[in-house]
Amino acid sequence: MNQRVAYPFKRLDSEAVGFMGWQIGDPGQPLVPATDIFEGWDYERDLEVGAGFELDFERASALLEIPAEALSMALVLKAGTGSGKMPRRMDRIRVAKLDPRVPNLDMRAIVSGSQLSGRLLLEASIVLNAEPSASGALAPTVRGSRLWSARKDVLLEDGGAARFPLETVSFSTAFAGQPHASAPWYVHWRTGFLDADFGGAVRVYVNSDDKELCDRFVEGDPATVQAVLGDVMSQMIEHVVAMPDCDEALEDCFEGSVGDQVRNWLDMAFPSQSLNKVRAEMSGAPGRFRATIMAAAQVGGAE
Amino acid sequence: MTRVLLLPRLNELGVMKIIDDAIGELPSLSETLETLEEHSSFLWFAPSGGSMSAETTVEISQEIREIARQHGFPDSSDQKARSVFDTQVAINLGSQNALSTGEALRDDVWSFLSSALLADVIAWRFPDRNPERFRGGARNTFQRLWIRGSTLDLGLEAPERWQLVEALSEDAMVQIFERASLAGDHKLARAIASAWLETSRHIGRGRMEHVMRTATKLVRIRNEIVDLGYLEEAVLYKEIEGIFFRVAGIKDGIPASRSLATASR
Repeated sequence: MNQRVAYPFKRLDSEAVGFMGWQIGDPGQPLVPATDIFEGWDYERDLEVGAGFELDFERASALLEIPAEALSMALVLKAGTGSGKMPRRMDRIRVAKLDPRVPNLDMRAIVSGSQLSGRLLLEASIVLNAEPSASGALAPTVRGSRLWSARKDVLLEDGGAARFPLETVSFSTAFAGQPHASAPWYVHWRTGFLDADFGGAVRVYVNSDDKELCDRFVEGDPATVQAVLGDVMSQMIEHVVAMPDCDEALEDCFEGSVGDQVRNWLDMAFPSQSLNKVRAEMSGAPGRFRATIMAAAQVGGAE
Repeated sequence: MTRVLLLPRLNELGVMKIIDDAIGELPSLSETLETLEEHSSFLWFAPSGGSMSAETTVEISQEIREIARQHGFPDSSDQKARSVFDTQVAINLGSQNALSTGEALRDDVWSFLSSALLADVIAWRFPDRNPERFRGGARNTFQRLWIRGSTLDLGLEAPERWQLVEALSEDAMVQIFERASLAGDHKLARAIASAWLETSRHIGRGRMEHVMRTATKLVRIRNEIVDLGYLEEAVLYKEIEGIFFRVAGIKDGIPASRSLATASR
C-alpha cells in the first residue's frame, strides 16, 4: 500500500496479522511460494493462489482500540492484471469474514488464465467489516476501512511492461545508419508527457549485438542493471527537475504515469528534500547529484 | 472452455517505424504491411495459449472503419460526429467476445490494430496525430474506447445496457479511465459513472466538468483509506452519489440512490 497515505485511524501491525506469504501453483496441486516470475504460464493455464495467516485477535483489538466483542474484520483477496505500473483490472477473488475462533487461516482462490495478461498482482487486505458498537477515539469506524494490506507482483509470460518496459534488440538492424547504432542501450521516451502512462511512454532497448552486456543484463547482474536503471532515472529526473513548473506538473500526475514514477524516484534518491534543493544540487554539484541517483538505482531498491 | 484468440501484437519499434517515420503523410495500409513484412520482428503473437487469429483484428478494424465512414471519414468531421463515433466504437468493442480475454489488456495488441490497420482513421479522429493515440496505452484511440465499453457495460439483461457509455461526456470518461485506481475496479468505475449521470440530471451537463474533477479527487482520497469496492453495491452508489451531490451543492439532502438496473456482474 502507498506509504504516503496518512491514515486517520489506528491500523494493524505485522504481528497481529501473522502473514505467512504468498503461494501459487496449478489448481488442486500443492502450491509453492510465489516468486517474482512464474514460468510456463499461458492463457490455458489457470492458477491457484494462496495466502496464509496466523491472526492475533487480542493484539488486533488492542491496536485498533476496539473491544474484541465489537470487532468485525474481513480478509479480501484481489487479483490484478494488465500492463502498466498499476494493473489495468483488479478483481476481488475471495472475501472472508474473520472468525476469532479460527486464528490460522489459509485463503485460496483460482484465477482464470484466460483473463490474465502479462502479470498477476496479488493483494491481500484486512478491512473493517462493520461499524463497531464501542471504540476508542482513533479507532476505525467505517465499514471497509483499510487496516492492513500486502501485495505481490508476479510476472507472467512476457509481461515485462508490468515491471519495467524494456526489451533487447539488435541496434545494427533497428537503428541501422543512425548515430546511436552502437550504443549499449537506448532510453526511448518523449519529453513533455508527464501524465502519460509510464509503461507506454518509456522503453529501454538493450543492444543485443553486445552479447556480453546483453547476457549480463538478462541474467540480472546487479551492477549492469544498476547502470542502466541509473541512466534512465538520471535522464528523466534531470529533465523534470529542470522544468520551470515541475512542482505543479508532478502534483497533477496520476498513478502509473511518467510523472508519478519520477516523483517516486525523487523520493527514493532525495528523501524529504524540496525540489528547489534537488535543483540546486543538480546545478551546483552535478557529479554528486548523479551519483546519488545511481546509488538509488541499486537493484532491489528501484521498484 | 472457449479458446483464447491470440491477436497480432506490434512492438514499440514497429509503432515508431510506422508513425514516427511518416513525416507529413501517414503510410497507406499496403505500405504499412510492406514495412511489417520487411521488419517481421516488429509483429508477433503469443507463442501458446490459444488460436492465432489475425483475421479477428482485421474484422474489428473493418467494423470500426465502417462506423467512421458513417460519421464523415475520411472527408469531414465535427465535434458531434467524433463524439458519436467514440460512443458507437466503445459499444462495438465492449461487445466483442474476442476482446473479453487478457489479450485486450495488452498495449501491443492495440498498437497493431491502431498503427498498422487504422492509422488513417486515427488521423481523422485526432487531426493533431498525437503518438499516444497510435501506440497502445490508456490514451490509445481504440483501447480507451474498449475500456469504456467493457467497464460501463451494464450487462445483457439491463434494460438500458449502454446508458452510461452513451451518457457520459468525454471529460467524465477521462477522469475515470485515465486513473488506474478508479478504472481498474469496475464496480467503483460504474458507481462513479452512475453518480455523474444522476448529478447531471439535477444540475445539467454544462456544470459537470468542475463537479466531476473535484468529486473524483475526493473519491480517490476516500478510496485510499476505505476500500470502497468492498461496500455493497447500493451502499457504494449512495456513498459516491453523496460525494457528487455535496460537490454539486445539491441541498435537498442525499437522496436514496437510484441504482442502475445491472446484471449480476
